[in-house]
Amino acid sequence: MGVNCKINGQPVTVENGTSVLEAARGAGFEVPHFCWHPGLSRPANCRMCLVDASNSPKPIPSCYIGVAEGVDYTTDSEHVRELRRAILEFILLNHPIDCAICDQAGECELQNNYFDYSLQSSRLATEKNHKPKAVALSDKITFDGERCIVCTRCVRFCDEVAKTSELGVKNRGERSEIAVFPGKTLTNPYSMNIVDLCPVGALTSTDFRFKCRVWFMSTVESVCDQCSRGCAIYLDHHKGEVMRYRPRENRQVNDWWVCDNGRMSYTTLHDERVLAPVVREGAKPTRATLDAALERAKAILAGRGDKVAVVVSATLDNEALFAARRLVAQALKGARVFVSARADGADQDDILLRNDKNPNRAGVEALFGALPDTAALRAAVASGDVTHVLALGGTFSADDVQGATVIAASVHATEAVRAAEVVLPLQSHAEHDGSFTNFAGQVQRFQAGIAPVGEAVAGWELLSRLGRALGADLQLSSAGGALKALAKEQPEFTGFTHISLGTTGRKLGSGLTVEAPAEPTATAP
Amino acid sequence: MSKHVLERLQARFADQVEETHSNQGDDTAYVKRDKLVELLTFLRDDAELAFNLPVDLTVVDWYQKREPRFEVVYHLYSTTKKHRVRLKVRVDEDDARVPSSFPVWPGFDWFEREAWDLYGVRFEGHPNHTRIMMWEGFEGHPLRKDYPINKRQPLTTLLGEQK
Amino acid sequence: MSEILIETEGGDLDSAPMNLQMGPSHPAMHGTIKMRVKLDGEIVQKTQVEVGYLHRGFEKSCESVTWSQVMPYTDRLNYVSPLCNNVGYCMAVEKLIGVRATERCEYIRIIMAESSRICDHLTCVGASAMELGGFTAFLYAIEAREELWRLTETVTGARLTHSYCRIGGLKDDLPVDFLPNYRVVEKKARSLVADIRALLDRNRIFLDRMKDVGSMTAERALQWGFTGPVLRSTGSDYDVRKASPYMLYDRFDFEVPVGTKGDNYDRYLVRMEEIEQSFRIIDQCLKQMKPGPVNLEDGRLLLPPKDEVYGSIEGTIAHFKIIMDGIQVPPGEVYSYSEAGNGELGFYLVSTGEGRPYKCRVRPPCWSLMQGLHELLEGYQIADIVPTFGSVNMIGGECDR
Repeated sequence: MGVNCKINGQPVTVENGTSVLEAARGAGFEVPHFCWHPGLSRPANCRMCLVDASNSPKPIPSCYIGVAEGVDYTTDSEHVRELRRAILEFILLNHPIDCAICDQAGECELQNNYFDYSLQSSRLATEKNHKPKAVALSDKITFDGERCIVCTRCVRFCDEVAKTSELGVKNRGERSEIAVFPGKTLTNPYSMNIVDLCPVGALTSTDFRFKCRVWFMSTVESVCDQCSRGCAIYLDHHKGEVMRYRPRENRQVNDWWVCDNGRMSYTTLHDERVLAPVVREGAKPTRATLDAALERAKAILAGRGDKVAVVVSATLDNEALFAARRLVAQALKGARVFVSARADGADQDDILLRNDKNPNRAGVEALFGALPDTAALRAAVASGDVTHVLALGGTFSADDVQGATVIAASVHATEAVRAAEVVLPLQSHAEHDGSFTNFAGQVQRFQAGIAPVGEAVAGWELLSRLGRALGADLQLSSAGGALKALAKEQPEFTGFTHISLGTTGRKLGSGLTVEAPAEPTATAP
Repeated sequence: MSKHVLERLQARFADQVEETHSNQGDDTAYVKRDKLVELLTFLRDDAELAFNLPVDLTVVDWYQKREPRFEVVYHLYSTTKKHRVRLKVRVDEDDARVPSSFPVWPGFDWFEREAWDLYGVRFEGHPNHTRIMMWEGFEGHPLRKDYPINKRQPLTTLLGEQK
Repeated sequence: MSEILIETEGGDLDSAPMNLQMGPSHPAMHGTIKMRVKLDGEIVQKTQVEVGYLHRGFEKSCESVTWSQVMPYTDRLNYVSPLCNNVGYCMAVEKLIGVRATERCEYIRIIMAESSRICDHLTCVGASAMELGGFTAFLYAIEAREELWRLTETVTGARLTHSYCRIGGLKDDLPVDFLPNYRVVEKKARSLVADIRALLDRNRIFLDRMKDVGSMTAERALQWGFTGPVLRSTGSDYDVRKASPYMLYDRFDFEVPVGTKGDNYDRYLVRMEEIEQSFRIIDQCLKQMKPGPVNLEDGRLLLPPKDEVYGSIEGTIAHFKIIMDGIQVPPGEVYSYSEAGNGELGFYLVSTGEGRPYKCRVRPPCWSLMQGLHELLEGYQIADIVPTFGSVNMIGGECDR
């Protein structure tokens, strides 16, 4: 049943229980806040969200109070503006002049709110309070007591989302500080989310500390590839280097969070990368051009029917998998297809972590159905049924292909990849556009952030060129084109394009019958 | 400021004028390119409008923000009537061409060459449709939003570099 | 009109037109201009003017910096009268934001812009004279310009690349001793200008070289898009300051000199008269100005005072946001125009609501002048190229950006 009210004179109807702040936001009125967060409980301790209400003589904290029937709320009167200036004056009273050295500068809610809602000069004539600075709350989080505005978002996160309750507020009043409870350590697998939650620079990532200023970085929307959850992330890069991952809001996948492992996985993007195609001349591996390597691959694969095994990895994106499917159908007729994957973990919980550490197993299942795994591959090679292997993605082991002639296309140069006859360089998911399908069937697209490393090529492109070497035209000219072609052939993907997947992605089978229009363009001046 | 210009234009070319506005006091009309030369000639020759001074011609590139991608922007002035008008013609990326205004005023000659050079919009009928800022042989159109600002196309090889 | 020249064509068996390339590196080609000239003996049959040698990517650079950071770029447009560009740009941004600078700020902007205009005209006339052999006139003009530059340095801190204006105000008010300093400079400069006129106005050689050379009718000039002294020398009286008065120009009593024949001599006279009118305007400004604030009281546009920036978090944040994010200009587009030394200097700004310009287009007055230049040259002698081109006052920075 809806509740009717007026916000700034505009009639608004919302579900019973909706806070005034959320109702205002839904109607297009931004209400500044610090302690409130859509993913956490309603705190009402910062008082920044105070608005006027016709049923109250005093202003109400709009993040906390639910909308009442028939009430007029004002979010933008002179009185409300005065309140905001006053609140900000209090918050800034003891705030250190750290902007020049604070990592949060450029993405700081205090800076933004002060500039947008106050611009009042300081009236402080004495020295500010001093508290401990650069305290290591854990090896990943650095805490600065002076910058903290005690909004308690971090405390509530550990209580409500991570459910480990390691943090609390120590002392009280002007001496309040965030601290880890004695006897506990801040080691929950989601601890670094409090860095994003902190509206100021009180909690900063030790890994990112002083690494790069925010305004130097460019951002693309990407997807974490460390497990089958596929958390939506922002990939921030500067001068061709990935600086950090941040979680992106996606209510259908990861809400606002990402696990520490996934967040830090950007450091593994360039681990032992395959930089250039390599071909074995006898026992010696030599660098070759891509064309030469593909010619060699052709010689290995052509005309061998079902003696060839194509091993697709559950870490490949949908576009590469589709190209592989076309390659098998058009150029490697009769080849057997297997799936390789990263080993399972054992840390699944009901927050984000999944045991399946592969980003696109669901994509493999959608495109190929149930495939035999690497154990079956090992058996087939051992029995001589398979003598030549095209391994796409480096998630297979040397034992799986012992005795076969292997062509390996991989991002990282694992031991098994190094032992192959032909090694082809693949781009990591940070270097090309593509899409993953998570365990629940959510297809999300990711964007290229950095230039390809070495001579690495995207999966779909590599397979297109291999196809050409083998005499087949896969008719794929771009990652976007590959997804469009996939959408035409696979009914669960109907209507999916990189643009129509948008920022949240879409569920398999959510059937867009016609191509969705492009994302809304900017409004006219 | 000079709304009567827009009204008169709309009255005469109702099917060519897509929309108008006067934001910030600048009277602007979005027009189609089909009868552009005729429209400009009308603006020049009509006794009430008398736009005798071609002021500026440029292009705005709305790469990935709007469709169609390019807006060709004309600014005109009348020294006798002392009024101004801005015309905008929207063209697609795949069909980026408009008729040249050279038959109406020679005063957009180099402006059109510059728009071609820097944005890649063709002006059909221009007597000398060549680059003006960049050298012949330069690849690309540098003011487009997808041309990276730090891309270099040196004409000579630097010392020690191999071409 | 602007077809590409072809190689030698037929004609007399024993004679053929000669193709000559003047520039881009040439002592008489102010800045870097290339002219391909087809000569029949001494007569210029056809000429093709090529520009772009000083193209430095002004527009592209503006798209990657904040609105305030564009200011030094504008200095380097018409670098002989940089304050006119500063003022023009600030006016454009302020128009887009929807604010108007304070009255005192506008008076000061007018004073500095007019003094820049005087410098521009002095340079043009002096250089023209020098190229015809009248080196003394050149030195007098440069000395007058020096005086003005020294004065400008006390006001803005620099002789040429001032970046004096700010969006919403100025870097600083005039120094306390500006008025007495100006009077000294004015006296000296005016006497030098009088000397130049005495040397050139009725100088036989000057007249022979400049009169009836490079003529154009007003109608033709308008078709080409000419503005400024070149247009006014042909007989059209279009001056932005009178036609659409901006800032406080409607408060002043000044005249717009208009020529009759549109030849080099008329352009010289128009410029010399404009110098006199600019002095008049500055005089009236100084008389009308009242004390008051120079910057708008708007924390969203102007930086807080330095002691607040270093001493309080509020000042730090305000300073930080304005510098790093840039002034948040509301989405929209605007075309703002002013009378610069060479004519109508227009700024066409497009904003998408961010701290950086989406497009910052300069409508350079010399661009229109240069595209019609060949008409001023064809039919005259090759020696006439020098004074004609000089009198058009092409400034490479403005033309090529």
